[in-house]
Amino acid sequence: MRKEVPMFITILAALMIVFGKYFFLGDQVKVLNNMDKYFNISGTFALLIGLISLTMVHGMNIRRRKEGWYNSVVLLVVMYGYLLLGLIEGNKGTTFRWIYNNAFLNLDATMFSLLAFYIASAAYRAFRIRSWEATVLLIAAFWVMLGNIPFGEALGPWVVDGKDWIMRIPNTAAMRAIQIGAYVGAFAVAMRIILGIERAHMGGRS
Amino acid sequence: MNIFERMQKIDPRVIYIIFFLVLAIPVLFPAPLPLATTKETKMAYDFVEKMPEGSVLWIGADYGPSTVPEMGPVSKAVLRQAFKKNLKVVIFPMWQDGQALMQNFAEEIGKEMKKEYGKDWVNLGWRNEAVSVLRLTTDNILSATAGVDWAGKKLADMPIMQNLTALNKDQVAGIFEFMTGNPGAAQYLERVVEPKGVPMAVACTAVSAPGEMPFVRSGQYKGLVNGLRGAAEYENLVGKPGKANAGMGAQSYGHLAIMLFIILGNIGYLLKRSR
Amino acid sequence: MNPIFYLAAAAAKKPEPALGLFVEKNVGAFFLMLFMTAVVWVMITRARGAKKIPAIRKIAGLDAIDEAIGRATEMGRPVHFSPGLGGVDYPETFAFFATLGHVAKLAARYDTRLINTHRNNYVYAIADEIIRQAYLEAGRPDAYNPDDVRYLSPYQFAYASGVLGIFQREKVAANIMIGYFYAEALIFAEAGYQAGAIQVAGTTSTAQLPFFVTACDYTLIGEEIYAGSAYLSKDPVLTGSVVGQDVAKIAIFALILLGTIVANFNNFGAKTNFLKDLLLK
Repeated sequence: MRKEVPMFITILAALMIVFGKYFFLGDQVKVLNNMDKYFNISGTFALLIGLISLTMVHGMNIRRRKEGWYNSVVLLVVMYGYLLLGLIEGNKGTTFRWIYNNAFLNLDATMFSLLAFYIASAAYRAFRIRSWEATVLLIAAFWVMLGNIPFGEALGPWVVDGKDWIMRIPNTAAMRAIQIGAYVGAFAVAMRIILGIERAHMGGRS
Repeated sequence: MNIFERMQKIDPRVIYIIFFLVLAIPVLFPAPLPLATTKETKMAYDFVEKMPEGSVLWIGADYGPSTVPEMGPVSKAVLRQAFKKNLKVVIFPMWQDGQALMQNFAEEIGKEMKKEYGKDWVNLGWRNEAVSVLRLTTDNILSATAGVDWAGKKLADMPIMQNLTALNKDQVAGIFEFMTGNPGAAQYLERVVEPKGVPMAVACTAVSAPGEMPFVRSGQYKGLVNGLRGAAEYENLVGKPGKANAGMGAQSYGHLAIMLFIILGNIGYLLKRSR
Repeated sequence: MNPIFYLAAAAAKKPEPALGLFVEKNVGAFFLMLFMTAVVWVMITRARGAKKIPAIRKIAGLDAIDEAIGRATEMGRPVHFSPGLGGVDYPETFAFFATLGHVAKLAARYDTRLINTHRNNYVYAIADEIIRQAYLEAGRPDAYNPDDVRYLSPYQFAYASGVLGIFQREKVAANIMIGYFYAEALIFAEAGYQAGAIQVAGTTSTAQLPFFVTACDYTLIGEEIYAGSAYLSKDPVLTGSVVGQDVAKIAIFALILLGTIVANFNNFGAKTNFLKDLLLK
């Protein structure tokens, strides 16, 4: 039963979506709308799972005085504190928005900015003329980078034209190939799930 | 260890310090650089420009704080252009951060251009499982959003909502989607652009642009604003250069620095190999 | 009822079915789906009936997973596994689930710690169950540690910083990343490299693939990740579905080629591109 019930729900939901999307049922908008609403409601409840899990893991860290347990205290205080503030003030609240705009925004942007440094070190380390394919890749990367900055433009219109050609033609071709392949692959996965062949997500053997 | 071997095994922290300086100096002392407009940016600009006065522009605010330096300037430029053309702006975030960020930008530009919330623009607000909510808005916006805006205010009382009931081509002139990932433009393509025939232009981060380019070629996107450079071009088209133009200096020197790193790395590699 | 609801009802045009049965513009898509279903189904049935089906080529990235866990075992250090940012509505996440069972079983058998981090609440709950079950099947239910399956944060960069902290503190020897990744891809890959971990990555995200190829030891490109469950389990029925997927792909490329020929030869004298009309009927 542990696997049969989820399987049944999966198949039922899949059939409802397929029928709702392709077949003219007269009032199918209502069917699809209801499906979306169920998903919406169940998803909102599932947010609680994350909250409970975080509380349990970090509560345990504190109780067992694990290394760095004080970080768990900070996490729980900030998480529940901000949640409470949001509930009291609403998302239009001055303090709520001030914290968001002045703390969270900057912290998040800082983490993202790490990427710039990692790109530099990865490029230095890995972009080598090891083979002719790697050389083609290197030339294309160089050209696109140069074409994207005003210095490249200053060298002549051919730099920008070349960059645009790389982006519009070979890049588009490669991206389409990967995307079509990935979509067909995703379709096969969906088939395996609907047919009950792929059961890894229910735990245990595929 | 000779110099070539040393070049191959340089401490990443040295690279980080050099890169930090290369990026920080142009930010602190910005110098404007000339910039040509790419075809895709001009297409996006014209897409908004051709919308009839008083029509609805639907803005998808789908990015987080991390990409504000890239997406913020273009968001402001599009809002400025829309308000200048007296378009009615409807903000619909599928990212919870998009709600607050686009609200900040719209408040700022709206105040500057004397536009009133509820009459000239509205923020429908983020809801959990927003992709389902997006599809529901194509049928009935009030029902999809439970009848309230981002701050819980009743939508039915707002003048902007009096002639706007659903996201379709009869009521919405076009969509401008600001995307950095998923949910993003793909969800609009599947749920709104293809089935409902509403045209869409997209602004995305430079890293996502190669993946989005096929959709411009296929005509499914009416334009594509590519990263900070695209944002700078858009600012120039709107006639108010801002942070994107200022940031282009840092981006330009940053690109040059990366190119230099690659050249140095390869010189070291080739010389080591030839020995 | 609010007057707006009446307005909406009046504005909506009464839709008509295409061919008396289908939603407008969906006929072509439906038959394409039916064709693909048939192809995959035929291959699965052939595999079930033990009939001959083409073999899957060697996929170095999937072979490398065993090597990575083996190395972590030798070094006595943990393995980190990330599904990226995708939720349960991402097919890539199902590729992650399929690989996770295999990785968890190997980790249980070799007595190697497996740290699995998450940013999505649904994916976290399912992954926890998969790992628990894998340890049970490997006969080591006692070795399962719920603290090693961690929900870090729903925020992308809070999650990323959490993973970076784990790399540094736990000194992971292997880092496996299969799923849908965004900007955190290179942050993980470069930090993993600097921590000295062997790295296997796989995604369909075209924006992040170049970063993985550059910074990781092995990369699964695009649909290769979907072959994971079949390749690792060597299950003939699953293999059949992968072969079916490849046949469907060849058929789609043939359709694209045909469409290109029709478009380039001025629709062979017809007013419009009949192939496009047929697909968009």
